[in-house]
Amino acid sequence: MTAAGRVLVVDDDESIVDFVREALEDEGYEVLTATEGAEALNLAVARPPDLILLDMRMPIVDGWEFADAYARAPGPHAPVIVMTAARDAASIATEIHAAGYLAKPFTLDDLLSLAEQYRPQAAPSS
Amino acid sequence: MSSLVTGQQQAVLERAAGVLEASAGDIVASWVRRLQAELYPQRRDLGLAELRNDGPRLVCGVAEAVRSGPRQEDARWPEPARAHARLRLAQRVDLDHLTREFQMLREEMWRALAQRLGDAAAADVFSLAETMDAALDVMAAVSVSTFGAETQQMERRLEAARAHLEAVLQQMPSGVIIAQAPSGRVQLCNEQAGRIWRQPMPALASSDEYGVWEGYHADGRRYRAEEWPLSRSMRSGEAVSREEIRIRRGDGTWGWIEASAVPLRDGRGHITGAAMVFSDVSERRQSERALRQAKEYAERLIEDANVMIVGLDTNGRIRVFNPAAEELTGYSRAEVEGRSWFDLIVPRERFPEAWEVFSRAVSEGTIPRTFDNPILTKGGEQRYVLFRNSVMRADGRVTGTISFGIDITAQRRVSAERERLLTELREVNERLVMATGHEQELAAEAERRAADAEAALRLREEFLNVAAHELKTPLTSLKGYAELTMQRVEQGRLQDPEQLHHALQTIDRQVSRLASLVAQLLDISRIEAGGLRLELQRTDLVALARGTLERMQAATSRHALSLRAPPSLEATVDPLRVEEVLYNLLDNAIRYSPKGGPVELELSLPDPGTVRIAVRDHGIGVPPAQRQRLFGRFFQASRRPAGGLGLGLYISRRIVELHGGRIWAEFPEDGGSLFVVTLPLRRGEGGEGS
Repeated sequence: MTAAGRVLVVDDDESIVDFVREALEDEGYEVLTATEGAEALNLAVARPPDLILLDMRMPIVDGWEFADAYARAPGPHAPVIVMTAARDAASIATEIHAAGYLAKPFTLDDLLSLAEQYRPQAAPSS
Repeated sequence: MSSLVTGQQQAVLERAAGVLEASAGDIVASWVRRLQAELYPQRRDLGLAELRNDGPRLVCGVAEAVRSGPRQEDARWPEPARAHARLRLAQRVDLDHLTREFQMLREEMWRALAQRLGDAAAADVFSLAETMDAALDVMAAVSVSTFGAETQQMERRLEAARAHLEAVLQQMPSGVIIAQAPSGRVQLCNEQAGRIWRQPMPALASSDEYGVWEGYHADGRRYRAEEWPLSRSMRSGEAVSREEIRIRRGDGTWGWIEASAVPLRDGRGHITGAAMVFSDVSERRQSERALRQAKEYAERLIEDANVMIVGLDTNGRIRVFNPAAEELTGYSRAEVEGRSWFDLIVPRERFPEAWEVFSRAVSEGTIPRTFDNPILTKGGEQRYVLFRNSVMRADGRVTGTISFGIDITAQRRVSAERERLLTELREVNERLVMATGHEQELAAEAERRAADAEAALRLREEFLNVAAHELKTPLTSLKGYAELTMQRVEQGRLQDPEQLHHALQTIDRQVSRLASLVAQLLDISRIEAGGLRLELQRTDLVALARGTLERMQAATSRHALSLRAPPSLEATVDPLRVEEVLYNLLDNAIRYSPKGGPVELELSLPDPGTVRIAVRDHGIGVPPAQRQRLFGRFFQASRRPAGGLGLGLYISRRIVELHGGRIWAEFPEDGGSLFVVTLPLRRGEGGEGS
């Protein structure tokens, strides 16, 4: 069941989290969710994901602070994809050394092909 | 030998004695002439006149000795000799000279005897001579033995006195040279003399040698030997006082001495020598010369200066008045010298200030360095003079003032004109400054507006970002669920009806959210355009609140929304707008309580005409620094927005104000926020009209 890889979705908008989780679970991914950075950091350390989808504007610990703390955390680091409604998504991605970005609103295809791109090679889907 | 005297010899001796007694006056006269010529050729007065009176007694004494034969014991013989010796020694004739005088007298007596006795005495001449010689020798010997000791004692005393004198002279700060008259032989020269000349003083034996001292007259002529004060005093008895002589010292340098000289005289007033006393006045001459030069220089300056120079004594009397001052005032120096400056030129009754300044200068010793005051010329004209002043002192005491003045009448006239122009300019300038100030104000205003505009732009930019975020977020899930559902349908994977329901519910919620955002944006444009209108109607606020609350509760599971209110509350309001306010307040309460928790809505009637609506949450609150902007446009409490456009409170405020109510926020000690709205129950009651 977990062969497709583990994705951590971080967004304060519950409907987006729900949609992304459902879409990825349909494709066989294991999905962890968090609605702000601190919770996400705990999850990322406790159950290291293969990919992190990160919203930037969040209460408590925002995307910038999460990226900074995650970079300094020990252990393996999953690529981070910025999910943002901001007009300068690309520059934010560069700013936090993210692997890429998904500009909101994104399509289901955008989401799935990006996840596919970071699917772990050693574990082909069942 | 006396016993051998014969009768014939006795007769010869008798005759000889007679001859001597008879011709005593002639013998003495001749003797005195010889003394003067042979023994004392250079000395005019050594009491020789007295010898003419005294001498005959001496001759008679010898005659008596001759008559009585060689009876040496006869006490009568020596008496005239003693008297003569006492007299001569008192006249400062030394013993050698005294002995010589006796010898010369004997010779005169022999000559007289040889002339008067003739050949008759020749046979007995031996005996006579023997007797006479014996008599005279005895007399001389007695004189010398009597007075010699006394003289020696006196000479010792003199010697001691001389040594004492010499010691004193050696110690003197002045040079001293003492020379003997008439030779001019230098007897004494003290050490200071050598120090002044910077060479050992030569032992000069004669005044003819004084020329070796290198001295010069003021006109540059060298002092001849006889011109030296020492020489002049010795020769003519001149007392020379403080004669300045330029000297060339032993080391070749030049100096100045001031020499005085006096003749030295014996008890009878005869010049026996001279003393010259001199001191080194080179330094004094130098400083005098420097002083004189400075004085001349100052005088020349005062004379030639083209500025007025006026010196006043402590009474204000004019002591210095230079040609420039004459020219300026019209008075000559002779006219003003000694007269009071403050009577004549700066009359104190007309210009009391100048007099006060001067009085202070005299009493306190201070004077303003510069001071300008008017003066009156001889012709009665008033001119302005700028003075530069100094207080003059001597030994610390104020002796007067000296002032340098320049006529500034013309400049003053120009300066008055300039002052007038300056005043005008100043006025113009002030107007300019005011204008400029205004300009600056305008510039500042423009700058402020620009800043405001910039801030507004930034705010607008921020708003656009937020708006984009807020619009795109619901669109993401709306679009996402739509696609996901379609895909599931296409792929035949849609099995669970619950799944479909959830998707559609989300889609519906996001559409509502978008509609609400669009409505807010429309509201804002209306508010900005002043076109927001209320549609008032009787409304039960409690029912309205409950409905809103229930809809909100449906959207969140983490927050517990509660209502406290009377059963009903009728008010004349625009129900849609009031619902919008309630929605915004509750939405904020939920958004700013990210960890969930209770949200309380309370409606009450604090007074009969007013309804109070309060929304209390226990969330993160608003930082104090940001509370002021709470109800402004585009406000969001943090850069981590909990969603929304940041327009809710702004729109709510405008709506409440349109209803004639108030809205504010409170921040309780235990955290969270309390938003309060008061509305009049009827439109126009307790609020602003529209």
